Amino acid sequence: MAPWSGLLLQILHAALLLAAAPLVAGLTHWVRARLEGRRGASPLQPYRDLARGLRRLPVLAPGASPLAAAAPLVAVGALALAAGLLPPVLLPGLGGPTLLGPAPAALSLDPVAPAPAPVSGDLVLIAALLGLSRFALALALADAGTAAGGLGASRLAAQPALFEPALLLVALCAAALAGAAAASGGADAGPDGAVALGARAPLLLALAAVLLVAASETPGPPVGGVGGGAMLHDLGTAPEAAGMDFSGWHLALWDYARALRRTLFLALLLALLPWSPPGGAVLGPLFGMAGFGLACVAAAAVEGGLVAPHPERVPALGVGAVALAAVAAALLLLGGVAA
Amino acid sequence: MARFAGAAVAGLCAMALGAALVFRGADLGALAALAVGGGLLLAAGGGLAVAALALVAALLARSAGSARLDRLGGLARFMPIAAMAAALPAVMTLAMLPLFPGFAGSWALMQALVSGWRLGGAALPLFCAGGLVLAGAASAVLAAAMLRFFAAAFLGRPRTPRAAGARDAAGLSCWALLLPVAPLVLLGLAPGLALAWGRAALAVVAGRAPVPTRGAGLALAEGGAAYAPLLLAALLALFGLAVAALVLRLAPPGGAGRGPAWEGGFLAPPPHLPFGEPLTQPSAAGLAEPLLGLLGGPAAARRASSSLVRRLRATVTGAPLPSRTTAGAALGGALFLLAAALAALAVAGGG
Repeated sequence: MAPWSGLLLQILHAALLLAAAPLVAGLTHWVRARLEGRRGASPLQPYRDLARGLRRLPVLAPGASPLAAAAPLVAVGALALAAGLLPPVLLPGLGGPTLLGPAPAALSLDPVAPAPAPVSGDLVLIAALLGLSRFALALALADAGTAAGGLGASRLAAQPALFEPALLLVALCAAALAGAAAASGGADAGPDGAVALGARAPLLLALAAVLLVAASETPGPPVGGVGGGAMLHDLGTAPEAAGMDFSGWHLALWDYARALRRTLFLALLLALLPWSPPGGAVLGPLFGMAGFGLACVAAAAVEGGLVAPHPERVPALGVGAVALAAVAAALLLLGGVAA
Repeated sequence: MARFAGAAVAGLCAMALGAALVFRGADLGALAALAVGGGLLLAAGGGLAVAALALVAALLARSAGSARLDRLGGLARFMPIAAMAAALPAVMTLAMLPLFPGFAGSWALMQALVSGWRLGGAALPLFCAGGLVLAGAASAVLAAAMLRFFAAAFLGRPRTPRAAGARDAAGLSCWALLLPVAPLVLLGLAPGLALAWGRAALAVVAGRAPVPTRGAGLALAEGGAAYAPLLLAALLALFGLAVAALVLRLAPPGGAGRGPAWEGGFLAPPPHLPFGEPLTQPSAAGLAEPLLGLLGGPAAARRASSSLVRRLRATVTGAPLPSRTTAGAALGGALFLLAAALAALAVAGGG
């Protein structure tokens, strides 16, 4: 595949993810409302909220710094860059790179090589960009100097101490499998390489680890909406504090960033599935988008049936994620997949 | 704060050198070059950032009357140059955030460790996986510590009248403050050029392996991963400007309004507290609490501080160790131990 068509595919896929983010949030709210016996707002409501919020000026605390305005732009920008780095899971069958397949052949250390193919599978950079958006949110939360904002910021900053190692271990698993695919099939093997499905089974554990990280990194909507009916301990979580401290287009961008973060984690989960959807250039994207929608609805349904973890219990989820990812890595490495 | 961050970065550097020796022992020259390049970038970026933070701390002590976090607060308004131009780049470097040299170094180190499966066998790849977990946890803990420092000192409300009277750096001290920050930013945007410049240093450990660079960025020989900070920065700026232009077009003219923040239901402060009730603003200890709880709880931190580390420190300097730095010291110690183990394995493998 020519480098430029690959680049176009990445840009198209990133634009698709950016456009779909409010729909993902809307679907989540709608499914949850239906499960609770309410009619719920239309899944398209977040688009209207975004358009309305962007037309409003924010009100800042007296002591707010210039960071309050810059942080949402940086957070959304970092998430958009991460969307551009994800493999095109919504558009499979078009020849784009996959997380587990061999690396594109165009990549080499040769400085005069043609323009590098879009980099895919760089989970280290994706995790860091997610971290940059989280850091920006934490700075903005701490900016007003309120109790809830400070608590939300420090909780937000403490979480990655366990989630980041889990994501890095998943990156190790993906790299080992991709390397095995490249070694056995060469650069012109199919996107699946030649690694048997059975050898990829430990990946399901890694998938569960990412699921745990996603569940605690992208909490669903609070019961009764932001600010209404929240439990006392919810006041110090990032979404609740964001609902209290931000307003105007700042709040619209933060809501959008939250939806985009959820969308990215869903796409990452799809990219880690040990099989790829069938179909060629026409059916592939259809299957990809249908699978994405299905994953979104399933996530909302499962989340709606569960009790949201108490903020004090979130570290337990992190420990679980690290343990699952470590077992997956150990199985892959000791099983000799990459040897 | 600066010393603690310096110890953690030194731990990561030692880990990078250990990993480089392991890769060299297994005849994986490109990965060894990547790891040692990461170590060099971490050392250079971390050194500059720690220097900048030390200058900021000295400035705070002089201008705001104290370098204790609980006596500062809200300084981003009174000291914009020190906060935004000096402290923020240093903090983001030590928090290992993209576009800054700390992340360039940790990217290289982590990519090398992620490729640890190439070592073959069972023990060495598992050691790499363990190193990856420790490196990830260390950079996340560093990020949390840096956030706590910046949030407590520069954001929120002033905690004392003296902090509200702080004045920004001016004249010579301003230039002195920017002296370590300028190379920091350059190093973050063009780590590849810096590594190409330090080719001789890389060759000492990595032999004749190619320098892991592409243009001004970094790249892996195999596996397809690359890190091009200039491109990332340009795209980020482009995207941010596009969104800002959209907002400027949609939103009504005029700046943001100012109004009192909701204090979570606390009573309005009495007139003798012009900066609000201090207890409604998180303290430095409060900002550290979630992380300490995650690392075993304040009780565990207190227990640990009364044991090995404190005794070691007391025998060396005769001064008791503040309990807050124990977690960092323990983590740094663990990193050193892992690096030593990796180096020992390398020697065993090479021999």
